[in-house]
Amino acid sequence: MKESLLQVRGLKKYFPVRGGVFLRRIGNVQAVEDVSFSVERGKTLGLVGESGCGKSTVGQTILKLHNPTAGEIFYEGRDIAAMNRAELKAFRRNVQIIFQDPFESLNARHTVSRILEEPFVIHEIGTAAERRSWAGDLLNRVGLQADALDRFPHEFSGGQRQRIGIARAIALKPKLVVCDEAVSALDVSIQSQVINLLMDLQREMNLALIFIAHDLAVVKHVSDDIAVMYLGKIVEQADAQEIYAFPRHPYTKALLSAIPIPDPSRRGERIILSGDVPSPIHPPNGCRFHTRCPHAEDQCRTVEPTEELVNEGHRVTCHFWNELAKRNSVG
Amino acid sequence: MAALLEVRDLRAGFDTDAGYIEVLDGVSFELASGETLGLVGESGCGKSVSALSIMNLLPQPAGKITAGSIGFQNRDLIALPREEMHDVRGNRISMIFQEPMTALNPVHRVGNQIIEAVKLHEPGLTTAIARRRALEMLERVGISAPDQRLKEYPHQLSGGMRQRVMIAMALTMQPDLLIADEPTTALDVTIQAQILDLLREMQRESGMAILFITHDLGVIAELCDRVTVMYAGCVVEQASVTQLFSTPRHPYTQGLLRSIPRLDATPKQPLTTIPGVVPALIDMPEGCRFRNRCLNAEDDCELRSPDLIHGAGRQIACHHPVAEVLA
Repeated sequence: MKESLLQVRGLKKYFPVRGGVFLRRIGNVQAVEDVSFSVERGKTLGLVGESGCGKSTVGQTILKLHNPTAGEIFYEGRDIAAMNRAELKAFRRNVQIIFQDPFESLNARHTVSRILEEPFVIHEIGTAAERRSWAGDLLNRVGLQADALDRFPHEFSGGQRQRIGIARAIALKPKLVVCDEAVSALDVSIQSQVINLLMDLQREMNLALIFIAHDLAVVKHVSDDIAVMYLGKIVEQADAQEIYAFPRHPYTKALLSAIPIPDPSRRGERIILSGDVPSPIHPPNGCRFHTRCPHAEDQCRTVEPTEELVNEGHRVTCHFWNELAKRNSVG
Repeated sequence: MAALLEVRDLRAGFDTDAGYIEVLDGVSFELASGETLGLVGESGCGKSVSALSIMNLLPQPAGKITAGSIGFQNRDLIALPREEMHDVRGNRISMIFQEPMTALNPVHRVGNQIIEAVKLHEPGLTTAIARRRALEMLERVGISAPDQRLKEYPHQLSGGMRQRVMIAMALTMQPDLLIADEPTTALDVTIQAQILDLLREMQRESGMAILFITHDLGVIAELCDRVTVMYAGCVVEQASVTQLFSTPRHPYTQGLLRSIPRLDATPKQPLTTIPGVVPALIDMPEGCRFRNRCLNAEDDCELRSPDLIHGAGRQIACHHPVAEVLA
C-alpha cells in the first residue's frame, strides 16, 4: 500500500476546564475524540461539521499548534511527535495553514513584503534581494500586483487579504495546506475567486489540502474525500460524490438536507433536527448524536457505535445505518 | 394590494472624518402585508443601512437620511415625530439582528428583559401578567423548560436559543412588519433550518410581513416571496423569487447566482466568478456602479446611471440586461 502524505490515528485532544478556588482541573472539553483519517498527496480532504465539533482543533493539532492528548499523526510515515529538530523544521516548511479571518491573521504593523518574506527569513533561504523578488512573484501568483509589496494589510479588501494569506502559506512550496474556514468570511463573488485560486494552486503544486468548513456546498466542490464530524468524532467519511449521493449517517443526512438550496422550486422537505449540539464537556453516553437523532433507540443511548465499512472507502459510525438503508429502499 | 411598506428613492449616508459618504443612492422597494421580501447583496451594499433607516435607528449623530420617503401604513416614517416613531418601533415594526448576544443585555435575566419589553409597550400590565405573556411567547418559539430559561442570563443560552428569545421578544408586540437582519448568519445550518422554520410558522399564524436581509441566496430561495438585489447602495433588480432564480436579468444577479458552488455541479471545475471587487464608497464610478465588473458594459454605462425600470412583473436597473434565458 502506498504511503499517505498524512495519517492521523486515534487522535484525541482534551482541553482542561478550570474552576474552584485554585483553578483546579474540574473537567475536560473533549474537543476531539478518537479521530482517524488520512490525506493523500495532491488530494483534498473536506472536514465538515457544526461549530464546536472539533474540526478546527484537528487542523491545529496537525500543525502541532496543540499537542495531542492521545493518538498519533504521521507525516510521510514519520510520527510528528517523535521528530527531531531538523525533521520538525522540514515538517513546518511543508505543512502550512490559512485562517478564516484575513483581518486578524496578518500583522497590521508589517508591510506585505515583510509578511511574505518572513517565511524565507525564518528558514534562512535566499538573500534580501532574492526574498523581495520572490515576495513579488508570490503576489503575482495569487492575482495581486507587485506594487502591493510596500502597503499594509489594512489597505486591502477582505478577499485581497485572504490572497495575501494564501501567498504566505505557499511561499515555502508546502505539500499540505490546512484551510481553516478560509473562504467563509468572504462574499460569494469573492469567495468563488479564492476557491478557484486554491484549486489552481493545488493542481500546479500538487498540494494536498485539508479543507475545513461548515459550508457543505463549498466543501463538496473542492474535496476528493469528506469526513463529517459531530461532537469531536468523525461520524462518516467517504468519497465526496458518494457521501452526497448516498449519505448513511442520520446526522450527515440532516446536515445535507438543512443546506438552503438556491432554487425556490426545491423548497421544504427538510429534516429538521430538534435541539442543540450538547456540550463537549459532558457529551452524551452511547452514540453522541442520540439526543438529536430521529432514529435513536435504546441501544444508541447506552452503547457507543463503532466504525463500520459500507464499502471500500466509505465508513460510518452508526448502529442502524444498514437497517435505515434497507428501510428506505423498501419505503 | 396597497403596500404596507413603501421605500422611495431613499438616500442615506454618514458623516466621517473624510466628509459625507453616501451609502444609499436612491433605494426603492415595497412590501405588502403578509409578504416576505428578501433583501440580498454583498457586504457594504447598504442592506442593513436600509433596514436601520426604516427603524430610524441609524447611528447618531453621524447617520443621515438626506432624501426620499419611507411610507408605512399611510405615514412617512422619516417625518414622524420622535414619540410617534417610538410607538411604531416595537408595536408595529420589530427587528431582530444577526448576533443576539449583542442585542440582549448580558447582565439581566432573559425573563426580565422580555417582561420589560412587554410592559414598555403596554404600560397598564402587571408584572405577573407580563411574565405569563413572556412564558407563552417562549413556548411558542419552541424553547423547552421556558420557566427555567426566564431565570437564566443570555450567556447561558446557546446561539440558536438566544435567537429564539430575540424572536419571542420581537413577536410579543404582534408587529405588522418584522425586519430580520441576517438572523441566521451566525448559526449552524441545522439550527438555521430550525429558525427559518419557526419564522415561517410565526408568519403563518400572525400574517405579519417580513423584510429578510441576507447575503445567502439559498436562504432567500427557501423563505422569500419576492427579492430585491442591491449592489453598492442601489437596487439593481427586483422580482418574484421564482423569476429571479430562473431568469435573472441583471448581469450582477446572474453573476451572483453563477458563482455559488452548487451541490449538483461538477466538482473541482473552476467556478464562474465576477471579476474585480466592489468599488469603495468614497470612490464610486460615474454612471452604472457595476460597470467595472460587468461583462455587458458598454460606453453608455459610463455616461448615465440606469434607472430602475418596471416591466413584466420585475424591475431592473441596467442599460444592457441579459436576455431572458434560463440561468
